[in-house]
Amino acid sequence: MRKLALSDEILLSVEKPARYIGGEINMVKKDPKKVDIRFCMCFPDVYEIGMSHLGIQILYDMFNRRDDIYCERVYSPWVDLDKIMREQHIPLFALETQDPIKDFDFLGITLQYEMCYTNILQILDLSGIPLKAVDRTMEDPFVIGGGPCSYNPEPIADFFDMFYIGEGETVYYQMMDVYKEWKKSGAGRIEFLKKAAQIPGIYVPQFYEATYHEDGTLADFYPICEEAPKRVIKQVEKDMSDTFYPEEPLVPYTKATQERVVLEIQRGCIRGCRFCQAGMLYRPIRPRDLDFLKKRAQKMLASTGYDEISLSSLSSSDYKELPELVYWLIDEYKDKGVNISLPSLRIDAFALDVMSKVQDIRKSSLTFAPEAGSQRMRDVINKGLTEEVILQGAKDAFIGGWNRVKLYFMLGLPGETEDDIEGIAILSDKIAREYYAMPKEVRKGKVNIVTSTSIFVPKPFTPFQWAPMNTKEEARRKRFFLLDKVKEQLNARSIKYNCHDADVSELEGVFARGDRRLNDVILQAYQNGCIYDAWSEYFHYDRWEQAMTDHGLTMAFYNGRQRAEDELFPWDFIDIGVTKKFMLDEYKRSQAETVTPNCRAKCAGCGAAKFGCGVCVEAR
Amino acid sequence: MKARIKFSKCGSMRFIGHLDVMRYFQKAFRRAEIPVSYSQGFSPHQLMSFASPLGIGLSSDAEYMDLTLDEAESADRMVARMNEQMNEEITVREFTLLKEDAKPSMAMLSACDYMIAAKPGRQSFLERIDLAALAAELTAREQIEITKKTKRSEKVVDIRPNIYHVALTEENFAAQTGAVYGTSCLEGSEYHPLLYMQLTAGSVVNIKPELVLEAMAQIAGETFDFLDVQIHRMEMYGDANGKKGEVHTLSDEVPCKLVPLSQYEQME
Repeated sequence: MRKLALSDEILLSVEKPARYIGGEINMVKKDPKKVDIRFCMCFPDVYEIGMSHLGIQILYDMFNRRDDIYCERVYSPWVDLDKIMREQHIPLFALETQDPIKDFDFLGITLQYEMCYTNILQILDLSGIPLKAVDRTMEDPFVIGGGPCSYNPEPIADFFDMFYIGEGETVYYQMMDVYKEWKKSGAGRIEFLKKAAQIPGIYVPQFYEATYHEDGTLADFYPICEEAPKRVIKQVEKDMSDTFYPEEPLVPYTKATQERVVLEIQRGCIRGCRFCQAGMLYRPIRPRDLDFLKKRAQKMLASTGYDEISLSSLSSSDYKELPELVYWLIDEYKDKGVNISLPSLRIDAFALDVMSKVQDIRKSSLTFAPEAGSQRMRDVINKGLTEEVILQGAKDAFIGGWNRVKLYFMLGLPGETEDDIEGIAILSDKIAREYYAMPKEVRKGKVNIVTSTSIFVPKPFTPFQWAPMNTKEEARRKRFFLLDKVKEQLNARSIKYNCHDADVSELEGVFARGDRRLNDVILQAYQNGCIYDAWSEYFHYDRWEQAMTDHGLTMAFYNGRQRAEDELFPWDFIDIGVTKKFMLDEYKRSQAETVTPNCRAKCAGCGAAKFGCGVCVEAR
Repeated sequence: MKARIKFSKCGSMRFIGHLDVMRYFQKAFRRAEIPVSYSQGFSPHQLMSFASPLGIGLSSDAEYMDLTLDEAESADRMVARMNEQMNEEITVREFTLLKEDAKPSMAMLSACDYMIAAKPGRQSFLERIDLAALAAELTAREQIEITKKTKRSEKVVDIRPNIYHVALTEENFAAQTGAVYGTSCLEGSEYHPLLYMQLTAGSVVNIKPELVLEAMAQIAGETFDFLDVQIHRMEMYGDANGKKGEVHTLSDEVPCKLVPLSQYEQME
């Protein structure tokens, strides 16, 4: 029988014990004594969410392909187990061997959203690893961060030995080789970090220093040892069809958020929406070959037994061979009871045809993400979706039998006016009008429109990185304003309005564009009991406010300021290819309400071409 | 065609809930390319049903699932194909084809055999008292009243007629039930058997072993803690004398005639 770290009594007293037992289908089994490196991958949120993340599955497969490495996994224990582990001094363990994390060589933490920062401290704390990197000894693993939030690692820089800036497929093998050599040499911890800092894309925060102006803005940021580069360059996987991708992904026992095979059809996006960080970070767009995708789809469906496959990308409609891929999947798998899901698909004739073939029209809904309510604002954010396109898509869908629509918008975009906000209500109503314009006998009861708004959070490495964010009071006022406007619409009774919590967004904004001084704020909030901040029932705004005040910082400094064009940002030492000059030009174009064509229509010279791959080298 | 499989579930799989077990089998059957029939409609699902969900924490040598198949190979081949896709803690033990008019095991379930085992590091009341004397007293009583709690209500019931057999050793138990138990998946584990019991089960009356242990603790003036013991299911039975919606206990005028579900309504 498999050894378990937790006793029967504990497993039977916590919610969903399946979160902690490992042993999932396709879990890799190795003898830890027979490997040189033990790597533990962590997603700092609850199991069902962490297990749904594709990135870890890719890296898990990549590491475990090497015989000298055993890669295992750990997720955040839920609050019930967290309490028991603290009371009974049970060290946090990896799912595979159920061994303590502290015994590992590396702990790799993926940083998918800012609100998981206290969960990082929970992981370190429960593992018995000193929270600050400088306090760690030879007994501790090296803690390495990666993923989208590592593009501004400064608010959590103290807690990490290293950050990996770029795509995981690129330099990890090199780092592992360097580690093995260092381990044999018997040199100290700092020596390894010095070697690691010389690997492209690796950022070792303790080798850098920040100084500040009197007004609190960054004055200078520089390396303090010669091994650390002045700028850290994002690492890009150039050939997406000749790289690591799992054939046998892990299949959890308990229901995960993604209960399906995930096929990443391309990485990056050509669209250049000005609010979107992923759209800039993952430039240039790199599609995978159709053949590669077909083979992986076959293998993954056969090895997992899933009855659904989801095509993943930032904008699936921009994958040129999408119809070919989708119709192939339908032909191959529809009769085998495999469902095909296509998120982030532009609603057009092709999309409706596919959806009618793969989904139950009565149960599924149509999703549009206009992001902004008025055409003016859609031009500001460079979202190339027009009202005509939305209304035509909705009309076609209604004729096809759908009667449920989901709409996603943002509130608080730069330069937003009341007209722009009211535009959200008007557009929602226009869609309803399209429905009721159909003859009564064609309609299937009422139309059901769900309009959701989130609060816009300016992110680093976007053209809006200079823009102020709305205060939570402003956001609240706008929500009520919009709610009133929705109520004024002719079809108000067919429109349901949902909105996102402004308190959480405010903090997300602080962390997104924050600096090193926030490390102690996060530490204090954690010590005062903050974990699972992304879960509204565990989010304590007052504790965060207190921690900010105690460290002489304000939310307004990070969120409320219009940042100067020449301000040095905490993340400027990272080179993502896309230049600061391009982003500033884009910011100015947004203020002039000028749209910028997508990468395939016309190269805007963003700077990503220096990676020499993807759309930048595509034949036109 | 209708088929029934018997499987064991132990070790860490004790912590996988019933719905997760169902999903586990659905995926395993797809991986093994077992031609399970699908329901009609827009979101078709595999035609499968379980005799009785096993509570979280319990282990079992005899869980039953009914399947509708488009086609099947020999029983040995089917067991082998399924086991290629099982983990080490869920094992398919038997595969039988059923008569075309066979009723679902869920409706036919009439009794279950359980083993109660001691857990290392815990001491249950069963280990503190003279268990032989308590077992003897339990079976000697004409009536055993206990409060049975359901989601909706609480009521006092007499469970004595629903306790068919009680024994302290597997040998004695097998002699009473007439069953052949084979090797248990608990064998070689750290749990050692204390007590065996056969109880009424099914959709009409279902007596959980915890309830009997609760009653035993009451008689002995002790308290029962579920976490102190490992409860292990050994077999499930249909009643050859039974009809849907009826319970025949051993003491009824027409007593139950128990047949393990794997042999119940088997295709000739």
